[in-house]
Amino acid sequence: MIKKVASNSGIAFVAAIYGLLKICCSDTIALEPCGKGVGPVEFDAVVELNHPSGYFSSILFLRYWVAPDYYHVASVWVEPSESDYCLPIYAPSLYIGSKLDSFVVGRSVGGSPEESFVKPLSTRKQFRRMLGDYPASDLRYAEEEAIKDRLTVKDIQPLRVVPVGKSSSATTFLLVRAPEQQQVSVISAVLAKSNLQSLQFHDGDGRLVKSINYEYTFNSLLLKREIVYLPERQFIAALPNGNVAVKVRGKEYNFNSFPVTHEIGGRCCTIDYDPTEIGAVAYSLPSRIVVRGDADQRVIRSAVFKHFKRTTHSASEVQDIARQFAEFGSAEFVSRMLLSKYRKPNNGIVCERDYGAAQALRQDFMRGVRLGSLSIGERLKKQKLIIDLNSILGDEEALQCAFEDYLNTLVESGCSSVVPFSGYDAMESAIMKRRWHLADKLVDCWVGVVSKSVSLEAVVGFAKYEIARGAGWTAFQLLNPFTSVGNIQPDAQFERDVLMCCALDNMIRAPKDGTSDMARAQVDWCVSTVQADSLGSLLVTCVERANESMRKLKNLTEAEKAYRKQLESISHLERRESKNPKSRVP
Amino acid sequence: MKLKGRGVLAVLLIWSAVESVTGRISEDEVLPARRADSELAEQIAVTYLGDNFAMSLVSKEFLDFLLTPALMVQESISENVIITYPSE
Repeated sequence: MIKKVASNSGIAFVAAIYGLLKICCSDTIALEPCGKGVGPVEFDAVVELNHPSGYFSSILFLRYWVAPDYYHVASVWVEPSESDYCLPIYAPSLYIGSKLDSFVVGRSVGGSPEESFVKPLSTRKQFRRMLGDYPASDLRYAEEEAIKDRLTVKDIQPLRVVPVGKSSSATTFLLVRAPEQQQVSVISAVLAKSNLQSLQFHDGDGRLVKSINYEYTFNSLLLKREIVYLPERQFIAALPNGNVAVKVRGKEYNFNSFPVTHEIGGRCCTIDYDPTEIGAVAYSLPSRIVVRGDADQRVIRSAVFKHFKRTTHSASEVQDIARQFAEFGSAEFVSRMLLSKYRKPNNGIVCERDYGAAQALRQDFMRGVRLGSLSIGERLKKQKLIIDLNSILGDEEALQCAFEDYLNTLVESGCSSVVPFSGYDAMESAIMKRRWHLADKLVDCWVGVVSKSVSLEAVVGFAKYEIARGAGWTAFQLLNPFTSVGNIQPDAQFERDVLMCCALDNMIRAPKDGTSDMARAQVDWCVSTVQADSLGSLLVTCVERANESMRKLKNLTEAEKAYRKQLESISHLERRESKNPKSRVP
Repeated sequence: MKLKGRGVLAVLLIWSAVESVTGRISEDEVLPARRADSELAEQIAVTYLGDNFAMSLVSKEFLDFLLTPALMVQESISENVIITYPSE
């Protein structure tokens, strides 16, 4: 087969093989895309993670220092800072350091001492993590697996080159690596001149591990984009300890390990490269990674790279700088300590010494924010601490200003998707402390920013979650401004209106016992603002609007049928109770 | 020769008679049923525990991704390294 292709392809094919062999054997390599000797660099990255449930997102602010023989990662901040459901650890202050001889990971906040591992690192044993657990120290395996798959021009040299096909402009080769040498054993490459057009990696059993397509700038000099497909992977996971017993027809079967699928449906990654000037030379460096689920094309995770610059520090200096950058400073530690001390409602009594300390810290952080030299992550961290300190000090006016600044920073830095969650912490604190006036002011500000910067779809997702945990009054106020927004699809309108009914219904018919502190506080907050009778007529208006929205829908989906059922139940109860207003809870 | 053949036949007849009296079923009949039960048991175990692993696999996917920017840029600034994409 190979001979036949070779004989048919003629001189051009021989030239292509000669070209590849020349590429592989020459000391001056011209194969693209290939790394360039840029020198050590430093850059910031904003990483967005979207939970598969669709309810939660997290945005991380990180700084990286990278050289060919080391890298250091400092996680500065995460939004939302208090309710991060995407990561198994508290990300701020996370430091990761990798050198030729060691891998270090640790956090100054969260009680996780630094762990150091000597290289060469051991390979990952059977996956035994459950219930969301995945310690940061397991990152060493991720690095090990990534480095093992790395491909250098020298790696290609000993490979057996098997030409398998040729189109008019490109030649396909199979590069076969000894199976025991690496996890990836067969690489299929398509070359046009010295530019790789695509690469496919297969494991020893012939299964696709990843495929990459490359795009270049018009003059073919610089890499412009990579499109990578990572298929879903099946492997065997095991229980951390013990067995699970299943009895079928009186016979007991014990299991310890189970087949699992990682990244179900596969992942489609797009990596954009931009010409980035470093030392007066333009290099092609990654500017953005977007990873989507292959089935629904929903963005699962992304990273944006910013502020590339060459670092002039020595390797050991960089390590110290990175560690220091990740760490919480002493002022930040004291603020967190004060916050945990005064988080719970305590009639606003703050001891004199703590009051003075909180005032000094607030001044210090405000000065830092005004300087303007902070990265977005550092700025958000300080702004969040200022909000918390204002809450401790009971300075409601300053708290409102700080809250508004903080929300605006989030929007201006492109982090709108987390505004509903990020802004919520400060409001919840006011609600739980039963400061209704402050809660009203903060919710007004929050709703104003959310309605201008967040899509109805995202707001609906957040509102569903809030209603489920008893925060109906917040959800109602958040959805309310969207009733006057035009151009909303009928299905989204219907969902919005039904959720508003559910939120109000929760407030009117909240059970007296068995509810959470939050649910009780929400009812009290609602009653402090709206009279019980007005609440009833508000619900009637909402039910009418929801019914009207439903009539605009041609065919109801299963989810919409469930909403209709809820709506019918609410309107039935409302009709019955409107005849007997005294039966209402508030 | 004939006698020997009859002897073998007699042994086979006696053996089959004993089998039918004791009610022993051949292994071919037993194994599929046992296999179906064990598969069912495994399916039940996976159904109840699979999601618990899935939660940690999401955590793994997200946490491992924090290394990706470092590993990608490291490829881009390392001479003779072919730019690919780190397996996560």
